[in-house]
Amino acid sequence: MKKGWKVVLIIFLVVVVLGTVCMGVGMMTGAETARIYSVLDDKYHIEMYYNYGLEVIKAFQNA
Amino acid sequence: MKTINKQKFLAELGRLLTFMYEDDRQTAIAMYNRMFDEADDEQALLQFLVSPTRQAVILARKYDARERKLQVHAQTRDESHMQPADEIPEFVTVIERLQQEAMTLGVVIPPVSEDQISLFDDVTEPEETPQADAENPAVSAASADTAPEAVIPAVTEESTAPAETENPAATMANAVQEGHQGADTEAEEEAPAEADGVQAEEKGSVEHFADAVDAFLADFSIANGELIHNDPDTKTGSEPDVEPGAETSPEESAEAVPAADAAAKQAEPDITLVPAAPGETEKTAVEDKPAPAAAVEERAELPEEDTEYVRKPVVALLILYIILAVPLTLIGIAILLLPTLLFLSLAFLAGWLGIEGIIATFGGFAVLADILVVVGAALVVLALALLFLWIFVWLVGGAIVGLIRGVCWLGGKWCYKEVAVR
Repeated sequence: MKKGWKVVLIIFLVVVVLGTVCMGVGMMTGAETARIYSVLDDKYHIEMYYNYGLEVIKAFQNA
Repeated sequence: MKTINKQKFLAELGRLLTFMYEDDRQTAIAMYNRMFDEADDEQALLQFLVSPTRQAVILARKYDARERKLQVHAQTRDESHMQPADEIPEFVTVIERLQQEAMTLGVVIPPVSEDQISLFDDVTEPEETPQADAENPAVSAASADTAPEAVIPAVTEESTAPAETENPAATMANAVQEGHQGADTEAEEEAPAEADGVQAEEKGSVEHFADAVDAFLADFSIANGELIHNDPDTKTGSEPDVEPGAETSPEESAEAVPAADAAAKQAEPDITLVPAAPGETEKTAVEDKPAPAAAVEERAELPEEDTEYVRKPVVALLILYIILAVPLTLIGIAILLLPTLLFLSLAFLAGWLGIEGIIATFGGFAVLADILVVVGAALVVLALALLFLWIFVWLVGGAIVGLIRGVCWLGGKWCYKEVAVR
C-alpha cells in the first residue's frame, strides 16, 4: 500500500507539473482565457448549463 | 556382627568402590590402608569405621563421577601432571577428615603430617608403608603399584574364603561381583582365570559396576553399626541372593544411591564424622546429590520441555464480543464508505472532465497557445482524478479491511487464552 501511494503521488506530481508547464507556456505564447471560454461554450454550452443550474437552485429555494 | 580384619575390610571396600575411577579407588584404598597402618588398635579402628559398606556410602555421597571426569581430563592436559592444591578430590578430603576424627578419638596415631599429600602419589607410597608391605603385599600393591588392575583381585582371592564365614557383607559383595558363580564353596576355590575374568569385567565398565554397587547398597541399611539386609526374603542377611550387576536395571541403580544416602543418614547419630564448617553447609547440601539422582532429575525435567501452548477460546466472552463487535464494525464500515464513495465520484468527475478537455483540444481551438492551456488544464484534472481514484482504493483496501482485521485481532486478544498442553 505504501508503494502504491508512492507511485500514485509521483505520477500525480509529474502530470501536474507537466500540465502547469503547458498552461504557463500557452499563457506566455498568447493564449486568452476569453477566447478559450467562448470556444468551450460554443461546444459544451457551459453558460446555458450554468444558468439552468441557477434556476433549479432558485426553484428549490422558492419551494 | 562379627569383626573383620584389615585385609577383609580393604578388600570389601575395594569391591564397593568400583563406581569410582580406578585411580580414585586406588587413592581411597591407599588412604584407608595408611589409616590402618597408623592405627594403634586395629579393632578399634574397625569399630570406628563401622563397615566397608558404610565407608562406601560416605564416599559415594561425596563422589561426583562427572566432575571427577572433568578434573581428570584437565589434569591429563596439564604437562606438569601436578594437581593443584585446590583441586583435591572431595572424597580425599572426606577420608582425611575421617582420619583426623580417628586421631582425635585416639584410634589412630598421628602420622607425619608433611607427607600426607605424598600418600596419594603412587610412587612414594611403598616407601612409607614398609610394614604394610611385609604384612600384606597384595594390599600394599593397592596403594603403591602402578598397575591398578592387579590390586583388588589379589586381595579378593586372599580374603574370599574367610569373608563368607565372618562377614555377611563381604559375602554379599562377592555375590555382586562374582554373580554367576553362585555356590559359596565354589567361590572359595576361585581359579585365577576366573579372577582375571572378574578383573576384566571390572575394567570393562565402571558405570556397570557402579550400578551394581548402588543396587547392592540399596539392599542394605546400617543401624547401630549393624549391616541390615532390607530384602524381605532374606532379612537375616546371612545369604543374600544378589543378582549380578549386569542384570541391574537403570531404575534400580538410580534408586540405589538415595537408598544408600538414607542408610547413611540413618546411621549418622552413631558416629561423628566431620564437623562441617558454617559456610560449608549449603555447598555440602548441593554436592551431596549423587550423580544417578541428578540423572533422574534431568530425565524428569525433559517432559517439561515438550510443553506447548495452545490458544483456546473463552466461549462466553467470545460470543459477547461478537454480539458487540459486529454492529460496531458495520457502523464503522458505513462511516468509511461515505468518503470512499465521495472520492470515487470525484475521481469519475475529474476523469470525465480531463478526457473531455483533451478531446476539445483537437476540436475547436485554432491557436496553439490556447491548445497548450487547455491540454495543461486537462492533465492537471486527470492527475487529480488519479489521486482521487487511489484514495478510493486505499479507503476500500486499507481502511475498511484494516478495520475488520483490527476487530478480529482484538477479539483474538481478549477472548482467547493460552493453555499449556503436553
